[in-house]
Amino acid sequence: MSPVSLRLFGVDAEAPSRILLGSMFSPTCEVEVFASAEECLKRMQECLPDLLLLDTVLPGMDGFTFCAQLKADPRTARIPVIFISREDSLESRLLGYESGGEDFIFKPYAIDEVKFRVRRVMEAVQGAESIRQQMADGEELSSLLLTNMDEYAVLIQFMRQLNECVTAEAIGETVLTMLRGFRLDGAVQLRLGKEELTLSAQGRDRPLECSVLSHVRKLDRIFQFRQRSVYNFPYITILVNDMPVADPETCGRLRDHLAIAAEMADAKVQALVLQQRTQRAEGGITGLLEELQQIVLVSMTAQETSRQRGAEALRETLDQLSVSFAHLGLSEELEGEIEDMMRLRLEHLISIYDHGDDTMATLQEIGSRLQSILH
Amino acid sequence: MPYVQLVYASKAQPEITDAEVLEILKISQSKNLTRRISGVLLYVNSTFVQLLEGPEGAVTEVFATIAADPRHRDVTLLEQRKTDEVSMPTWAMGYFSPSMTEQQRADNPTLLKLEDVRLICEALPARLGAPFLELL
Repeated sequence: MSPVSLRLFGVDAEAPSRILLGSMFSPTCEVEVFASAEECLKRMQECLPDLLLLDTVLPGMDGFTFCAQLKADPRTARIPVIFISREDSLESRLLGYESGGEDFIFKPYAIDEVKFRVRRVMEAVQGAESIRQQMADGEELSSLLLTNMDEYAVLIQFMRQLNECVTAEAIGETVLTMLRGFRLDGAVQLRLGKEELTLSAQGRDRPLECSVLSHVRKLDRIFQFRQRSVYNFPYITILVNDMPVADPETCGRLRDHLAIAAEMADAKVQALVLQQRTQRAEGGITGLLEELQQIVLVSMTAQETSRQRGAEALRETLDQLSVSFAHLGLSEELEGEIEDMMRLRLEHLISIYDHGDDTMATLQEIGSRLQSILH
Repeated sequence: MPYVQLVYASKAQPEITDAEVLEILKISQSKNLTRRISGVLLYVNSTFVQLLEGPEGAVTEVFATIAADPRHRDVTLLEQRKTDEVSMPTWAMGYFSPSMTEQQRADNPTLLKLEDVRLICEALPARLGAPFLELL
């Protein structure tokens, strides 16, 4: 999608806001602004936007109701909605999330921030489209498989699949499959150190969903809020949007199952985090050993070079000595004394090289041991 | 009424360059948003007119800083009122200088076009918008 072709609708009751929205996006997008949801709906009969920026407080229909209405209509359901609101509270975020919005911006906003969020939501929507297609393909098969499963079978199937997971994405998908097995809709957030992954049937890392899960994770371990229930563990949070509250018995049973499932998934994520840490540590040790092996090889080469140069220097010294004797005309007795002295010195030097041989043998042994550890 | 809206006018010191004014405005934008202050600023022919709106304490503090800033002179408070609702969704500015290039405007999304500033000021409550429209 080219940014030039993006059609953006803005709905805001405040005239300065509408003018600003037009001003900030008109250079790159086709922008239309409206003072009410009704005006915007009328225009949507003729043409649909690629993205909607929506104030929450409007004359007539409010922004949340308007968004829910759009999301319930197959013709408009996939239009991403970013709310713009003056009220920064968990309740307004939840209302936005419940009505199907993609993101939330609070006034006063920075113009750069609004532009960034619009870009990010468009990217997320494109990613979600691909996930939706994959899920649609698997939906028919999974519904057939799950039709005759009772709740325990869903839980057992979840445990089996969880056991096979080797990535955070796989754990998240397994949790979502379990929720579908229980005929529930929801989202899951996995926390792997500094990284977070938020998944739902609607896509991955949707900004408003991330924001809601980041808020609810601070609540109690198990938390019920109207139709929603939350299961909080250190490495995972599961949010269920549609608990069957009209049926307290089923609701209680599902809550128990979900608490068990969340605890197991949490342990699995924790194991994954530990495994990743161990792998990183192993990688560090291997690197260190490889460096050490390199150092040993360099030392051995240096030692050998040094030995060869020393032997050459000895030979040259003896040769020069013989030549010097011929010119000096020394007595045989004196030449004998000098030769004895030189012999003693040479024997001493040879003993140093013998010690060098020991060092070389030690280096060779270390090198062999490193080789066997590394390969 | 949790908010206050305040409009003032001032003159820039003659030796200040366009680049310096733009830099000051860029820094003040970031500071104002952190304090949840919105508004609009107009700079034409070395004259500033600015609307500051937000929590009373924060707005009063910013105005006191501006009044004491040696780069502003003849600071005059034109309007101040308490309100339940502020008018601007962000802190924006209209800046018009004969030496300003299109590139400078394109690089700074906070800078508004003349016609947009006029529309915004016309949409403000009459007593707040009047000093801006007078300057335009």
